[in-house]
Order: sequence, then structure tokens, then C-alpha cells
Amino acid sequence: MQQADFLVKRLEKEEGQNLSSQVARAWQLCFNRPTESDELRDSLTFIKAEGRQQFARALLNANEFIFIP
Amino acid sequence: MNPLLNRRKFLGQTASGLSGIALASLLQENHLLAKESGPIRPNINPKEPFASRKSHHAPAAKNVLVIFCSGACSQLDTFDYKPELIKRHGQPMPGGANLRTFQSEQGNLTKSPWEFTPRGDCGKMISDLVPQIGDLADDICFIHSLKGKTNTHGPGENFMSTGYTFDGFPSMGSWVTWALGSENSDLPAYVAIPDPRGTPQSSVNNWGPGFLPAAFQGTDFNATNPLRNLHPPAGVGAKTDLATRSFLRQINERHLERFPGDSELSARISSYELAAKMQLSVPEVSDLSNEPASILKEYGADNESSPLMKLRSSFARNCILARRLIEKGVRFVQLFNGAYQTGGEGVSNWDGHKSLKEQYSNHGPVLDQPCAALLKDLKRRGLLQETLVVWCTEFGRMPTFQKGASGRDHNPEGFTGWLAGAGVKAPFTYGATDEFGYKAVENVATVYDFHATILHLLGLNHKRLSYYHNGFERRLTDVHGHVIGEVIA
Repeated sequence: MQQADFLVKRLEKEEGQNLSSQVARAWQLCFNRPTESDELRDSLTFIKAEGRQQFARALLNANEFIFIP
Repeated sequence: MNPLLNRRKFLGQTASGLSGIALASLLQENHLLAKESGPIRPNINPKEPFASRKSHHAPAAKNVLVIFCSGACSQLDTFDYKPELIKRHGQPMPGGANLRTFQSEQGNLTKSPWEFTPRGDCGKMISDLVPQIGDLADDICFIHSLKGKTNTHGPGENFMSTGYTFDGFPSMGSWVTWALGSENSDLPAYVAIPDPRGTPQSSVNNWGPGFLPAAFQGTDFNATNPLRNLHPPAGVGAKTDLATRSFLRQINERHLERFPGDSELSARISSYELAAKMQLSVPEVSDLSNEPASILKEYGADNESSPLMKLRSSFARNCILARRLIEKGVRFVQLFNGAYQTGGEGVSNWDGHKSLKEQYSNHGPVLDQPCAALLKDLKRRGLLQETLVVWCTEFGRMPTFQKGASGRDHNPEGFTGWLAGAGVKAPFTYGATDEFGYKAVENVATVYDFHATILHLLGLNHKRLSYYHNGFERRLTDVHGHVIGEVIA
């Protein structure tokens, strides 16, 4: 949770208040690729419901972040 | 590169090809082809690694409960009655003068401080240290001729739990759940219940997966210490946790589409799902508050009148937990009695080197009533018909006391283990040690034989349950082991 908070702070610092660019930046930082359009849409919907901390928590637990298959 | 074969290659390859065909036909005639003896791999769906899977042959038992007394429980003070040892009490052991065991030279032959009396209808002689287990003698198959290959605790525990003395090999529970999965999709397939006093000397090696997929390691928790890291972080509610998990699954499944067939990725997705189910199922199965007072009393979980009774009560709660897990269809439950963490050398385990009488006077009562109640409870609920109960320890102890001490040294030459429940002949006694209880001499049963028999009762052929690792087809029984047919009902 602490790391998720750090990630949120960094996104804010680097991208300001624009949520879409925060999501894109998060994707670039964690997965080293741009978001696809439905990923951006689903992320924004999720952030609206559960907040950015949970969004960052999910990304840091994702297989794509943890494994290089 | 020239795609055509040159003359040398043609001769070389066709020759081995032709002789290969000849060999295959010879093997076929003699029924030696791999078809009948090769490995049988479980067909594991990575999305459901714990789904129930078919055994090799019809099983007598569906589940296993292992009761492991760590520290090396003395056969001579519990189940192996030796009148000659009583008769020759205080005399030197023939051949004992030159014998150096683990810690020291031998003192004299020493009878057990506890009397032996006939138990059950079968009249099996069992010591007064474990009277309530003794009273169940009619349901038990004793193997008095077990033989180990190490006299040191860590390796001895590894040997009994994994079939190898070294660290890093898969435990029996891992082999069994890898092969058979589980009957319950909400709980771990394999649970290890450490003693309330702590873990045994070889600790997690006793329930480790070795080189088998990590999903098949034992999950350790007991009635006092709930499963670690199970609950959502502070401040995250159940609804939010669920939403985050489903968002995570969405990301993971998209990712998996790009790498189809990667079992680690899908195993990790399924482990999140199992963890989520366990957030509900584990607290439920560990909650003993709805067990009736009569059950708590029967197990000895209601009496906390002294430090010893408190300890017995904690162990009794672990026994009730074990029954609840078996009842829910958990495939493999390993229940430990005795711990190294909080005091080896017999203080909180069965390692009675120095003052056996004083230390066993505590360990006996902690084990006896709860363990006996567990067997009776399983039987009453009909669970013994499909559950195999295995009582074991790392090795035995000497019929002599150590020179200058009042306890027994380590002895892997002959010791006792017992089986009860599904598929087991009872009352029955298999094998024997010599007149003093030192060496297994009649129907010697190696630990490999013990393991082969347990796997057989679960419907598994110990020679064909193998996993290819580092150039070897590895087995629980290495390259040894014979099923002890005589103990099977």
C-alpha cells in the first residue's frame, strides 16, 4: 500500500491533475508500453469508483509487472 | 550445410535405428516396455491446480492425516514392549561397550519408567505414558521395525517427510496433492499444523514443495496462529478489495492472452482467486467457537488449570482443527506435536537425552488425550473409512540410558510408526525389533517402504509417481521402497 501511494504521488508530480495522462504514465512506468484505448477507458472507470491508490495497487500486483514470460 | 547423409552417417544412424527396433521388440515380448512402468504425470489444469484428479489405481483412502512427533519419540516408552529389557534392567547391553551413538557412550540397559499394560480387546501391550491412545489399540496397525538412515534430527525429519535426508525435496503432502489435487476448492489442498510451541527442527522442509510446482507446498497455520497475510490491508474494505481484485484479473487475463499456455501466469491468477476464497473459508474452518462443550472436553481443550493443561488445550485445539480440515475434504493434513524452536533437547519436543522421565511426563499427557480424541472423533463421524492416519517420528531411541545421563540417545536402527483408518489392517502388529528394542530384525521396514505403502493406500504407484528434475525421474521413494502388503486390509 505504501508503494502504491508512492506511485500515485509520482504520477501526480509528473503528470499534474490530468487522470488520462496519469494512467498512460502508470502504464509506461509499470509495463513499458502505452495503454490501449479500452485499457485507458477501464482504468478511468475503475479510478472513478475505487480511487487511484487501488489502481496503483492492482498495477503493482499485475503479472505483466512482476513476470517477464 | 549438405542435407544429404554421407556414408558414415547413413551406416551409423541406420544401424542404431535397426538395433533400436530389435530392442523394442525384445522388450515388448518381455513386457518391459515403459508403457507399464513409466511415469504417470497428473494432468493439471493451470487454472485449477487443486481440482480433484484420478489416482493410478482404486484408492483405499482419500485423505491423509499425519501426526508427527518431532524430536524422535522413544518406541521403548510408548508402543514397543520388551520384557527382556525389563528383565535385564541395569545390566550392560551386549555389544554396547563399543557403540557410539549420536551424543555419547552407552550406559546400562534401562526399562521404561512407565508400566506396560494390555490394551483393547487385542491385548496389545502399550505403556501408561499414552493410555488413551493405547485404549484404541484395536484400531491401530503398529509397525515396530522401521529403519531410518540418519541419527540427526533435521535430516531425520526430512527423511520421514520427504524421503531424502537433504533439504529441498518435495514433502509427501506435496507429492500427494500434486498427484491428486483436493476435494475442496475453497481451502488449501495441503495444510501443515505446527505445534503451539513452534515449528519442528527442519521447519518448512517438512511441508515444502521442493522442485514440484510451488502451488503444492503445505499452507501452515494452527488454532493459535491464523494464516498469515490473509486479510486485506488496513483501511481497504471488502467491497473495494473485491473490485480491485476483479480489475487486476482483467489486466492479468489480457496479459495472458498474449502468452497462452504459460502455467505460471495462470497459476498466479488462480492463487489470487484461492486467496480470496480463503479469506472466508479459513477463518470459518479455524473458528472453534461453535464446537460443542462435549467435544472440547473430550479433546481436553476445556481445561487450562495449569501451564501444562494450557499447552495440552492448545494442542487439543490443533487436533480439532485437523478434524475440521479433514471433514472439509482437505487432502493432506500434517499435525505436529513437539517443537524445536522453543526448546530442543527434550524441553519442548521428544528428544529425551538427559532427563527422559521428567520431560516425557509432560509430553505424554499433551499428546495422549487430544490425539486419542481425534481418532475417536474421526471414527464416530465415519471419516476413518476414507482417511488414512499415520503416526510417525524422525527415528527411535536407545534401550540404554546415555552414560552419565537419565535419557536415551538417538537410534535410527529400529523404531515404531503406526497406521490407522482407511485400508489398514487393525488390530495388527508388523515387524519387530530385537529383544531389547534396539535394532529392527523381523520384517524390517525402511522409511521408503512406509512411504510406498502410504502412497499405495491413496491409489498411487510409488514407482510411477515421478517428476523429471535435473536429469532424474525423482520419486518420494528415490530408487527404493516396497509396499508392505501385510498391513493392508
